[in-house]
Amino acid sequence: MPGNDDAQAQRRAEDAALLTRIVARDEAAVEELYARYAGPLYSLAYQVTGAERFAQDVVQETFVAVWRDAVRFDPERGAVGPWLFSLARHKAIDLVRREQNVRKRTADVDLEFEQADDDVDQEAWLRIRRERVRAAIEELTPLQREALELAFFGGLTHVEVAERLGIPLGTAKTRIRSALLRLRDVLGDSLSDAPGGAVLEPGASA
Amino acid sequence: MTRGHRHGGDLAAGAALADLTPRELTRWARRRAACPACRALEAELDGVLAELALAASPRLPPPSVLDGIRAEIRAQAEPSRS
Repeated sequence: MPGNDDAQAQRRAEDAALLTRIVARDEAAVEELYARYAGPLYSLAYQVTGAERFAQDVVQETFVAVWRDAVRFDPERGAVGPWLFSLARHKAIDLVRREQNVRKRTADVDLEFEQADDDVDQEAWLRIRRERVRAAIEELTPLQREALELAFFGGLTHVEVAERLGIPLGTAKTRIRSALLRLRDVLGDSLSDAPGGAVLEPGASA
Repeated sequence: MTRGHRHGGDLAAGAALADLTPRELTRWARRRAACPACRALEAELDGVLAELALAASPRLPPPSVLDGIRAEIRAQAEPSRS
């Protein structure tokens, strides 16, 4: 859908402009970036940690890290959105790994995705993309989905996924890899937040 | 797909999920430096993970989170201004 692509390209350019302002020490730009991403980052952090208090810490630490390290962000390597999600997910996993009891709780939770209340789900772009990725997840086999969800949302290492499911490490790796590749194929062109530079590199299509 | 490339997929997936051993990390760094397709795959998987994050059940943080961010940023800014 060209309209969607244009809108995503515009969002990406606006995100990059906000980062430039943050590098120039513009505090208002942090607040604008927060307005865009606090909801989805908090949702991710909650899904990983399973606790509001920890999710709040993750979001706060993520934006403070953006303020501190914005200059290190390399637009050649990707868009701002994936960078933020990656920062938040790593912080959430670190926290879960430090807090053994939280980790156990999270690992025991069946990772059901809930529908949003209207007042939480105010942003159209977010709703559209959430529905799209959830539909893509439905395309996975149950075994692929289970392994990927434990690794991604559960924050388990490949070794821990294998132990938890009682399967060989190689099998766990295969399930996680094939799940990611399947999602890439299903999401296809709509992966517009993926870094453009690397994908367009000469020889990349080979 | 050759066995090498299949293994490259495992390494790329491990790299995207930040779950490589130090030895695997070294191998992956060497491979991605030499292989444009590996770098492209890594970029695609980063994009997949960013989309996957959006599948989480939607929630909003309380306003105290933004207050905390403001306070920390101000605190960091103070020394350089004085």
